[in-house]
Amino acid sequence: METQSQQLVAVIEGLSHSFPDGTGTISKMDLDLLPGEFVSLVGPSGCGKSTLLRLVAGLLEPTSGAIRRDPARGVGFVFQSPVLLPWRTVADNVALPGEISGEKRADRRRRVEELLELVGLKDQARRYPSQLSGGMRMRVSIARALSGRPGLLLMDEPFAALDDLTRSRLQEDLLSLRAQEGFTTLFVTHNVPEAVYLSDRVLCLSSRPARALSQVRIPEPTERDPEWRTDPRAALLAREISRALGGRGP
Amino acid sequence: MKRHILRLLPPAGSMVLFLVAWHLAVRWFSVPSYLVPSPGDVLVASWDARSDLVPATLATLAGAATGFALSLVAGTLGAILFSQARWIRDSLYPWAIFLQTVPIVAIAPLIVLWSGPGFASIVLVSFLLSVFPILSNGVEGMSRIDPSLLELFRLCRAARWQELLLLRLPHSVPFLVAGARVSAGLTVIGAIVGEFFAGYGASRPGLGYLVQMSAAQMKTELLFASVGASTFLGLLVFLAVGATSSLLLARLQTPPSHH
Ligand SMILES: Nc1ncnc2c1ncn2[C@@H]1O[C@H](COP(=O)(O)OP(=O)(O)OP(=O)(O)O)[C@@H](O)[C@H]1O
Ligand SMILES: [Mg+2]
Repeated sequence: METQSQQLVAVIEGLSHSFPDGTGTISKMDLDLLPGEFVSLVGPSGCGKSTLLRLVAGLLEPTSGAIRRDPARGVGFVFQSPVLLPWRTVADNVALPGEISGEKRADRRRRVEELLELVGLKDQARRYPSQLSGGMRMRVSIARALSGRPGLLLMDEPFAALDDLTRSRLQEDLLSLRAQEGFTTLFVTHNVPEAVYLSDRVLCLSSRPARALSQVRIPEPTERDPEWRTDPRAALLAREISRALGGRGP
Repeated sequence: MKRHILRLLPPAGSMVLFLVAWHLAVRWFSVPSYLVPSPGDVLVASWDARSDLVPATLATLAGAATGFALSLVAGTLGAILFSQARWIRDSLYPWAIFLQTVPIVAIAPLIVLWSGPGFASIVLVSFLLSVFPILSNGVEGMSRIDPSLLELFRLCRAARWQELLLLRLPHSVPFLVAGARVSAGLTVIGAIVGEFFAGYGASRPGLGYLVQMSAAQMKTELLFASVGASTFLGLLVFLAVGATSSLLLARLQTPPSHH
């Protein structure tokens, strides 16, 4: 038991949270995150998904219950908007976490180069955020979140503001990033097909305060490719998730 | 370049029209020159008084520039201090607002009383009048930051000084620059007001002192010339600070490759 929980990236046990003004956001949530797993959270707007991510990141304190994270693995956070520093170049934005933690300059530079290569922005290293497209900015934001080699990547509707084409490209890139870097992902989205495309598990949440309504496993295929988007099984899973959320299905 | 000239045309045109109208009105209504001298008279008086006007303008510029430099430093340091804790801001901000609301003309004599007539008082009045826009803009720039950016820094376990140096300070640069533009105009007014009260003690008389003397001695042409020089100086400082700030912002905000 002990050894198993040590292998987990994060354990959420009986987690509840409410804001000081009494707004209850999370109610008795349990969730284990296995190494390398991709878990999506879907739920109605305002139910507490962002709050849950902030709790896992340690930006908020639980009201009751506990979150245990493997301390050896860091956390990366990708916000809904890219949240870049406009006065820094792409490379310097990605280097920011390393700069704050006091990483050696040479190591930092190597890591930034590697990450920009991974997210396909090698040629943009010296440009400024204002010169990039929305999709490129989000790539920078993802590269920055990965700069400290986190074991757990938290993403809060990272692709919600992007057009369909860009969104699909970034979804595919995220999967290949995960394959190369091996992080665990907790991913918030409103987009059911997106959750089906990316996840190993989808957790359907109730309206506020968020409770787990049901969990849909997406065991296959292990290697996702664009064909999975139009696979009939994917459509069935999407319908199952929508039903769980109380909709009629897509 | 052509666009620049085209943009200068309307203000230059209205200026010329105004001067012509002024000249004609003085002639037409035969206004005595001790009340309103014609632009030509003022020009002649300015030329005759150049040995007074030029050093006076430079003296006022020195006072204003020193006051402005003080405002920049103190305003920025104050904004940094205010950004460090809510209680500091709450306990000191009312004093800053007091600076903004108290009529400077009312406390200028007090300043002269305390720090004596002369350069120091002139600089102090100029400083007091011009520090607030920099301070208040700086406070805004240090505090009005996207909460997600602050969360990002918290996630990276940034120390307070890192948050200040890497986030709050660079974020507030455009705010400080906007404040400095406003402050630049005020700083000249402040120096001239300061000279009204403390100019007699300065080693070199400034424009404020010249305005006062020429008014008292009914030298209307010289009065007009001094007012003209003051306006010219204010405009010059305003344009200089405007150009510097545009350059600075262009360097900081938009990439060099853009231009
Ligand atoms: N600081 C706060 N104080 C009080 N209530 C808050 C605070 N922040 C958020 N809330 C409330 O908590 C609830 C959950 O917010 P949260 O941002 O977690 O929702 P969400 O599921 O991420 O919504 P969305 O899908 O629209 O992003 C909302 O009803 C919101 O109004
Ligand atoms: Mg949200």
